[in-house]
Amino acid sequence: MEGRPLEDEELVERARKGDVGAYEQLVRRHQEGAFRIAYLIAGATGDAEDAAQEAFIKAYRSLDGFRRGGSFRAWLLAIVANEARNRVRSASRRAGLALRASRIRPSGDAAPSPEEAALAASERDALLAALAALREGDRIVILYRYFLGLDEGEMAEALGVARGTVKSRLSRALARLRKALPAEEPQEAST
Amino acid sequence: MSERLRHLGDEELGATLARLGEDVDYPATPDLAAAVAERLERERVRPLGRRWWSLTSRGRALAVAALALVLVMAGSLVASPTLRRAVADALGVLGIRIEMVEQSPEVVLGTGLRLGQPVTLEEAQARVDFVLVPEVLGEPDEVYLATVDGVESVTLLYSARPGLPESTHTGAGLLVTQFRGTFETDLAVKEIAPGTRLEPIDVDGRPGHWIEGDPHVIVYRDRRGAIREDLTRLAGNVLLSERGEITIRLEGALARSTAVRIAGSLR
Repeated sequence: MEGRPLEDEELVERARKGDVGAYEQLVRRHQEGAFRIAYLIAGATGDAEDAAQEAFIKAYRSLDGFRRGGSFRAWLLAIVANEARNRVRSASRRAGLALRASRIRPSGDAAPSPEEAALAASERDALLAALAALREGDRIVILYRYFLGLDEGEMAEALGVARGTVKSRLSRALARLRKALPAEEPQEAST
Repeated sequence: MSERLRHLGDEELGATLARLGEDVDYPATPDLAAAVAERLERERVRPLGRRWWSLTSRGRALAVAALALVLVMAGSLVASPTLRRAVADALGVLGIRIEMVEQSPEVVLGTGLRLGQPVTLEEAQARVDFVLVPEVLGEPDEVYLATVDGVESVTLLYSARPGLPESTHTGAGLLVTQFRGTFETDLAVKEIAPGTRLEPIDVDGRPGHWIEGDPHVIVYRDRRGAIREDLTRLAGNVLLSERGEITIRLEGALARSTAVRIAGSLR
């Protein structure tokens, strides 16, 4: 069995018994997702790093509270999101700044025409602005699903709701996102 | 244009969002694993459930049974990475001290129940101009004066009695500490142990805070901008409230409503 990477569940079991090395492996496996959700919520790299690190520490101390058979990733991300949110409030910073600040790389297709590039860029700006304008609850649902790629089951765990609720929450969030899109400027050249 | 986006169905809008998600330029992920493992090793923590901070019954024989840290920082402090690091290191140091407590209690936090110089209530009232006494309890059993970081504080000690359960083996029921200085109103809490909670509450029309759970240390910034540390001495809850320029701490194994009532009766 050497070389087979241990499943999250096995690592959690070992960590529960005090095996810090096992927990370190878990952290390594999940640190990218944790850091990224923290970054998306808290905005600044330093805060994101602090939030993610604190969340990992808290998670270790609360391992007994983690339900066997559940998704460790989802459980962890919810803890990270909470830590990141606390930091946004405490710094009196509006959530969503991270999204505005993030640089967007152009999609790696064959070079788009200037018009296509401008269109794509302005659509992205519009989407980001709309995301930033959403209420926290709606935004986190979208971030979980589309930015972090959580599936329905994981989302249910991260949000602490039933699966059916996830679908409707997502649908409502998308509806509100559409509404939040910036209104069209009047004199727009359309071709 | 937003027009096109607005008309996309859920699935297409979702796909657009997913592409946007892929394009976000995230900063490089830091090596959290090493930092986390190092801190856990330093604290030599075992996840024994929510009470892992607690020492066993031996711990209760000491003045402070267990430690959790509640860091209360004004908004501006959180922005300082240097302070955050310093505090994080302090956590580690305190973690080590917890281990040492079982061998040499004196080393612990250096305070035990040391509340200052014992004085009479009259003496305290003569020396400082802000001594408030909770009317519902009457005169305290003991009074202490202390000066910490140049700030004078008065502590009234009420012994355990019906309605004021004993908080430690020493028989103390309630501590009422007062000092000149206020917490900044915009507080943020960094919760370290799962068992400790801080809530803002209203005390007699003024903003206050209720801290429940394991004994803890509060690190806060006073009005002069100095960082201060405040340690709980009894295993119990803490109610923080203000009267003008005076901060009042009630500390004991009290229910919240009792604490609020007592604080409301301060004259």
